[in-house]
Amino acid sequence: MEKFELLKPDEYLTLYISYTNKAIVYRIKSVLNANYPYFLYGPLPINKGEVEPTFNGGAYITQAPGEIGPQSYTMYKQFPSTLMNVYDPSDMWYLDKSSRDEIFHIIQYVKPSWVMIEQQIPTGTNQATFQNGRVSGGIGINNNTFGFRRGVYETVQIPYIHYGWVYGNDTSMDITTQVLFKYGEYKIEIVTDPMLVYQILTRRIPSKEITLTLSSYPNELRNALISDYGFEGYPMPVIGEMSGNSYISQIQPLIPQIKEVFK
Amino acid sequence: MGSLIQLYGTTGGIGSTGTFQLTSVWLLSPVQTITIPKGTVAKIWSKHVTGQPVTVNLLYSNDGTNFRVVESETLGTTGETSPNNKRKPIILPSVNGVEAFQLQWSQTSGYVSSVQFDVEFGEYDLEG
Repeated sequence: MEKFELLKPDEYLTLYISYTNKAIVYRIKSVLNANYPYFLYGPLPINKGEVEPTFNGGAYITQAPGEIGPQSYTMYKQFPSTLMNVYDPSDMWYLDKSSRDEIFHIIQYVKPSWVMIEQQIPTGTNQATFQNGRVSGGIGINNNTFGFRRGVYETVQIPYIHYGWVYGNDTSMDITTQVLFKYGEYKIEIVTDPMLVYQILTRRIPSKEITLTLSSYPNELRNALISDYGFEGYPMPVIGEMSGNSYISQIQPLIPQIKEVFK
Repeated sequence: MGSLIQLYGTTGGIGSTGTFQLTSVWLLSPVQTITIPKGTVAKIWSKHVTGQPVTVNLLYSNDGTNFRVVESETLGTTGETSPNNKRKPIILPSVNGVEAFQLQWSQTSGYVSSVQFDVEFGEYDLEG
């Protein structure tokens, strides 16, 4: 079974942005929730009486909080906060602009583990496609053949953008659900040593890699990257066609932009 | 993924044959037929039959409509069956997302008998 592990201080994290073929390279400075990696959220944020579309084109009205009906799926969801004083009560993972030196590394486990999970970036925008955007995928689309995963999802929450989530239940059972978050609240810095960036992105130096799967490049994401980090990510080096020196020359102009934002 | 849930059903003394209404802590209402999520397998682990004499049949369907018996277990006298923990699970795959299973009972009279079994929904090892 696939294992999902959190990071420790001084480890690197590469957030790959698939649509632009760029990446943000983080160094973890500290882990704010070290020793307390779990957030016991409870049921999925589904209200009693909520209307859920069904896979055959109908609708199901939930009988209890956290329920996904038989052959049904949710509308897009965020996780309302159970805590006071978070940045946005409608989305517990949202970080505002002032938190650019922080990210959440989130692994969400949903029980029962056959529950389908699809990420939207930003909330309301499906990103699962086939053949570079020609065919849409995801829960409830194209006979549930692709564009979701079951039971667990790993992502990185950057500041100033909301992610949305869709959940599906393709069984005949009406189920209650449970969510456990394993997460790391990291203080980060962007790696700005060009040679180090080159070595990480060519996998000469180990770095945890997480992808934001995208079939489009939403303005919300672009604005978040610019606002948070002053750039949209380092271009991926072309291994075999590019020397370290030429890559360093290519990304060198980005470094002052990043340092300006973090000064 | 991999989720083990316990399902429970009882004959309720209401007839000599029937289909179990299955319940679980994860289910909000009982269900007769369980559709297996597409691309997964349902692994039926230990089945435990208690109460008065009964035969419990496990039925599987490729199309969600036509069911056939794939396993049978009989409790011959009042009591309970002995769990066979060394037995490998019965694997019920879902290729199209319509595959399903159910449990039926038959007994000589409307006795009260119960069945409890473990079902694990796991990855269909298509790459293996």
